Amino acid sequence: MRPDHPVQKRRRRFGWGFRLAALWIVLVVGAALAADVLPLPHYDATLAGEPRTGPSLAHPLGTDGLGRDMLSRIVHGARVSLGVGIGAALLGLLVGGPLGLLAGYRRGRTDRAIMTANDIVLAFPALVLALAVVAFAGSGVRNILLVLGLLGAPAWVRLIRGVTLSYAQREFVTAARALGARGGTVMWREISPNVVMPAVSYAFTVMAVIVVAEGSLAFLGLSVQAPTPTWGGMINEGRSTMDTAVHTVLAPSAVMFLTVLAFNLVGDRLQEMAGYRQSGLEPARRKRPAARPVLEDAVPVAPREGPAPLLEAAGLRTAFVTERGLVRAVDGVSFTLERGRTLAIVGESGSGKSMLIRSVLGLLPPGGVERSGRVRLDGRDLTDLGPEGMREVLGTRLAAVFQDPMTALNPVRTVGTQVTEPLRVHRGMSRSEAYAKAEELLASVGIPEPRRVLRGYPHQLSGGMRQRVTIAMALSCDPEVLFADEPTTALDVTVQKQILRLLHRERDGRDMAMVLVSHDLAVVAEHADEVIVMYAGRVVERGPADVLFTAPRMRYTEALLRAAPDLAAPSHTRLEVIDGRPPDLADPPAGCRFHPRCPFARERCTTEEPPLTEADGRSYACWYPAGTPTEPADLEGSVPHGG
Amino acid sequence: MALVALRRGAQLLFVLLAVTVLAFWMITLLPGDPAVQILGYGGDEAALAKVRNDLGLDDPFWSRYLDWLGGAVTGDLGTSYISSIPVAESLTGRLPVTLELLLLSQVISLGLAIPAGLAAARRAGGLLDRTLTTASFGLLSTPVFVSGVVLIMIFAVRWPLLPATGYTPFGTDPLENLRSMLLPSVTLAAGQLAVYARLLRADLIATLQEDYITLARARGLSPRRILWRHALRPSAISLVTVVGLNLGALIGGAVIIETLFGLPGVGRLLVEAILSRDYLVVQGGVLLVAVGYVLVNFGIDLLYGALDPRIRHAS
Repeated sequence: MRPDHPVQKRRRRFGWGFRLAALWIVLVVGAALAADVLPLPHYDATLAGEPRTGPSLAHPLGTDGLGRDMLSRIVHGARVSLGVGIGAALLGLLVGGPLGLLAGYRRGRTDRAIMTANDIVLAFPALVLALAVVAFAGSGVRNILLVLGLLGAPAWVRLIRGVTLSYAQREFVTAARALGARGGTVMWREISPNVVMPAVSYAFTVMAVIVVAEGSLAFLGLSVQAPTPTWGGMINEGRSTMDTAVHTVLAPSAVMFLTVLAFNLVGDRLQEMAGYRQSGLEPARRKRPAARPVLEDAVPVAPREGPAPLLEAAGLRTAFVTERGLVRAVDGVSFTLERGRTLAIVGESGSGKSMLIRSVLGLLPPGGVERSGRVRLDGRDLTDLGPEGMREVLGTRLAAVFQDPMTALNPVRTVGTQVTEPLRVHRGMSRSEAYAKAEELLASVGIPEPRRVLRGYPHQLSGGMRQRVTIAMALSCDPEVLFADEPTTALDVTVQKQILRLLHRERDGRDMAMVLVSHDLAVVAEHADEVIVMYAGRVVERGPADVLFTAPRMRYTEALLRAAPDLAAPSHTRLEVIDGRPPDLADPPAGCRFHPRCPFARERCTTEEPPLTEADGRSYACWYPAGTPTEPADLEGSVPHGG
Repeated sequence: MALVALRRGAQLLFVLLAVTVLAFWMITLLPGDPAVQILGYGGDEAALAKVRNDLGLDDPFWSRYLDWLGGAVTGDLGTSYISSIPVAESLTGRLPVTLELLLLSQVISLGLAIPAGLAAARRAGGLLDRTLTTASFGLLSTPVFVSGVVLIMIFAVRWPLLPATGYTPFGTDPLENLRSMLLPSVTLAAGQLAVYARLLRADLIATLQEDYITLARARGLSPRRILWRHALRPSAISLVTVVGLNLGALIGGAVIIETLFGLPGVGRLLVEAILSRDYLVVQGGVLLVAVGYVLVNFGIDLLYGALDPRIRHAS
């Protein structure tokens, strides 16, 4: 099934800001180069026009206090600014680059020596040093360029070292080393090309800094001396006439601002080209929400008869808007769940299990995500709730535990602050009440010395203990449904069992419902009442755990069971792996999504998608299900598989 | 723990010594004969010889350095040949102005940058974020002497609300003191505000991808609470580092700002000393700045532990 709407490819181009900036740099550089041949009055010709007059045809930027042409002075001033800016940036790179490469590549003692020297040099006030050198050694362009260039070198060392460090450990570099390439060769051939892009982008940023530094020197009267004009010098001179002739300050200020801005913009955009996805906490508000493709609402779901189930998902869909089109991570999933029962969601990684949980909870990553379908809690539609309404439900009625306890707790807050937070926010408890309750909670999930643990930080606890803490946090406000997303995958085998038993016990003790996501079928078989098998964002089979595991219908479920240890009865049975990989969700295969990997697939499977059909209290989506009369497949109709 | 502290202390001492050697050595590197530079070319040989002797210019480098260091440790940086005022006295006289400028500017820039960074990161890519990014880019690209001149033009020349230049000591008139420090502090804060906000925004965006933030959302906590209480502190390391670097650099005074607004701070003193070739003042000033920088950054290192308990417990 392809996206219904052609999705515009997100353009990864420079944008107009970058182009204007580049154009401005070209313009200023060009003007500086051609300063002598441009038809302008001499920059030092006094009384070229009436002093302190504003812009006119003869003097596009007006005249200064001595009647000199401002445009001519700015154009000639550009030679100093840009010459020093570009020259000093290159000098800094030339000196700092090799040192940075060396420090990052050699590491160890070389690195420490270079970086200590670097830090000592950085301790000296750059501008004061520049001032001193220029004042004592003379203020020619050469001296200024040398000083500013050398003072910039430590920052170059730092940057190049950082980039080199990150590359020196990558495979291709280690491989080159292992093949016996000499240090110098590796550094030159393998690492420096990768350092080029960050270096180029930083060069532009440095040019901006140096243009400002040269301007500062000139402003203090310590750059190239009169009669040669400099931008900073012009701004300084203009100060005396700014109350009567504003343009004498504004014109050089504006040119300088635009030039620095242009260098910064170009540097920034080049850096972004390496690019990372940016998203915040909440989706950015768009001006035209309808401009993006919207997920079709699934089959209109008629209200059910009789009492509403505790939790119900109906036609839930979630898709990411990407450059390659809509990626349908959850594609029309429905289920119901009652108190005191456990629903397991199984499937390979990438089948949409975790996304389904996040979709139910409304915790999707902000930006570029679409959700449709319904989620009802006690008959109340949660998808209609705004973010605030949802916050009242989250933590109090719905709670979650995630896979990796190492990343699930905030590293800089004490365990106590984190466990008591929901109690204080949702239950309005006082600090001492919340701590008393938290201590009780930690004890109930099997944490020894809860009081001491509350005072400590997450990194002081083992993985199993941390997971117990996250469970205690999730249970703190007595939720009705607990979502556990692979709660034991990151833990030791012995700890896994304890945590699962704990979850099971809490579910029974609290009469709550649990949604357990797992790829471990042994776990599921032991703890779940009902099972959903997901493949490529869809439910392919659903039914009571015991039925589903003893007699799977859908071929994918069958394959999963064969691939699972423990379950396949005798321990000497050979484990089978499922050939191939889960499909690309941006462009899933036509027909049954599993057909490219299914040994039983036939012609029909490649074209027609099997519906989720219900039979004997279970449902499955398969044209040629296992354990039914169609079983002996006549192989003439089968298609080659292996995708 | 005690061993770590000892090692850190030794390291600090080493860097400080290196810095003093460099500060001392640098001045002797400058071209020309200091005696001639001090007395001018007209001076007679006897006077030159006396200055050389006073400065110990004929002694070997290390003996001169140790002399100077001994003095520096006891607060004696020599007496200026130009003004006949002890160097240490001129420096301590100027330091309060610089420190006030430094403090006010950091309060202003951090006071604005933290909320701005949080607001921008909350909906990254949104209208507010893009507006703030553009604005901070503009601020970042404005040299202080440009923004200072423009602010003077607006608030002192066009509408004379604030003094354009000059300084009133806090002890003389606190209100007037604040009025005279407002424009310089805002000018200095403007550029730093942009740097701080961008830095914080970038680190916050990275933090907001963490599992513990998603789980905080799953506990029904408000975005405001998540940003301020959960995300801000783990995202503050780079910000603190850069604030430290700035503080260290600013101990030398904001040379341009002090010149532009006529504030008698350390930066002005240094510029004047450089222009009048007042060696000893330059040397003392550079020493003060470099030592201050090293100490501030040492303090920042200690602060990392307060920000992140993992760093605290690792050491």
